[in-house]
Amino acid sequence: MNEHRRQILQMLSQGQITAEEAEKLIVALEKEPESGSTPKVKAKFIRVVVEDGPTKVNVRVPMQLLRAGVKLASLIPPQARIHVDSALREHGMQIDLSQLKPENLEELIDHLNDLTVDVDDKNGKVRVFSE
Amino acid sequence: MIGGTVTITVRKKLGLGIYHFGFPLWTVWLLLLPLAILTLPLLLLICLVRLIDPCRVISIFWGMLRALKGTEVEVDDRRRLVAIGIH
Repeated sequence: MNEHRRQILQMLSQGQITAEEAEKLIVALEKEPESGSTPKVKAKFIRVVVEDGPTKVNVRVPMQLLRAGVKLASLIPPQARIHVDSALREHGMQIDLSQLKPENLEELIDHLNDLTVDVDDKNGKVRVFSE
Repeated sequence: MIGGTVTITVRKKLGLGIYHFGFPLWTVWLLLLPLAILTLPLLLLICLVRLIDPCRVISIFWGMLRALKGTEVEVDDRRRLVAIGIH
């Protein structure tokens, strides 16, 4: 039991706060990161491992390269974006490139920190993860 | 800095044979420099026609070159292993 929680329970026992207030404080404490805890480390690389029988391909790509590569999408001229969007829709991807903003892409890349893809079938194995 | 060193390792599984060598990345860029100089006017023309900022294009490609550091590619089959890394 940490010190903050002990203080809350002490205040509750002394009648300084109600049970509801104590509960709110404890919930707020649980949401905050611990002061001594290590901050979440951002992944720096994406690794793709493909195993197809005896052949194994292992590729590690820096996240910075992904960020820089994603910026390439911003260079597509507007008239070409229409063709790209329709080609993507034909392949089942409902993506509108004109709606993509730099902050959305940054958020997408940040979420790649938790990315793990594991495909295992008779043709081979594919693993994608961040490290 | 655009990367640093490229290392290439080739290892033969049947029998002995490990070849490992590295070279500075700037030698690669030096070899590609004439090609870059030749294509620069074409790039500027395309940017002019498509109304794209050429400085932005160069900045993005420069960013990609700088971000190459840490890239590793390894292909391993029954006969040999080939690994290329940019450090």
